Amino acid sequence: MEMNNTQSKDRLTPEEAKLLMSKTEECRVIATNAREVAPVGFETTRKDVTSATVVPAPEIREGIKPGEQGDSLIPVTAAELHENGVTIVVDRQVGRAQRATVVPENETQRASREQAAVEKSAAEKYEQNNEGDR
Amino acid sequence: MEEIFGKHFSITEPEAINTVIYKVNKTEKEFLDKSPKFTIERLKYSEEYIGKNKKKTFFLMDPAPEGNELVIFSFGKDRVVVNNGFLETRTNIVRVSNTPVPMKFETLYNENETEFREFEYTPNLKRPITIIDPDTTDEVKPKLYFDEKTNEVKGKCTLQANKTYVMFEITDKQG
Repeated sequence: MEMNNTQSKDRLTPEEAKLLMSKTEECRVIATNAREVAPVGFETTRKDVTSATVVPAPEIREGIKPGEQGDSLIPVTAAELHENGVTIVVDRQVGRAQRATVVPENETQRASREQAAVEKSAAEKYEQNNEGDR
Repeated sequence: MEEIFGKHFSITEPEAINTVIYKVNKTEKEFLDKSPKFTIERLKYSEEYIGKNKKKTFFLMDPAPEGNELVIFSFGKDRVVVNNGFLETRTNIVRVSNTPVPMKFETLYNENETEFREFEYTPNLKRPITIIDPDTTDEVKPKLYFDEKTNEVKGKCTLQANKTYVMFEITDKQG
């Protein structure tokens, strides 16, 4: 899979970078143990990193809102960054799970679904007829 | 003498890796009633190719005198490497942890075209959560709208089905 090469809004042009470089001090980057990365006064910070996937309802029906079809936002795993470094938390409950409630189809939704089915069927019939004429 | 108002540092990225770095700001006490304890700021960067590798220079403006925490995400083909960093303002040193953690997801990159779905997501100003699209490494921002039924401003996010997004928030230890 190729990375996206579009210009990010955070990416500076060479001219902008040159100007900023002249106005900022250069820092040296060193790899160190995790404890030194959280010095005194900063060790109480925690970063929660979660990944989440949108899992659509098994059957996607037209004209019905995703939430009403039972779509779910599923956290897969999570990482915590704290004073001892980074740990992966493989507990779904730790993630920010938000499951859309599944509600039964109401009259409007049923009508909308049926209408969409009729339209689709008519479009297919039209296509078939056109193919026959060719 | 010209005024110095920030810092810069460089890293080398291998091919097909895209790193984004956030600076963590601690909110001052007087603003804590309306703001979260920590806010983040994505660092602007420039890049130049050196052979197949990329030299990426990040710029951090207005560093705190006591230093700034950094959160580092390196997006690769099928994983994200998460790391901690700290910029020492006084010594001009950026310390990066030598124990980063790779998060591997089967569905991080999905070559199949799938549809975009809208999800209710109303941002909580006291508890901001950042969502990053791993394909573009851009943030996914919720669109705000007015819900006439509930008389509230709500938000919705357009997310691609069956694709994994990376989300993060900064909290204190008690979270």
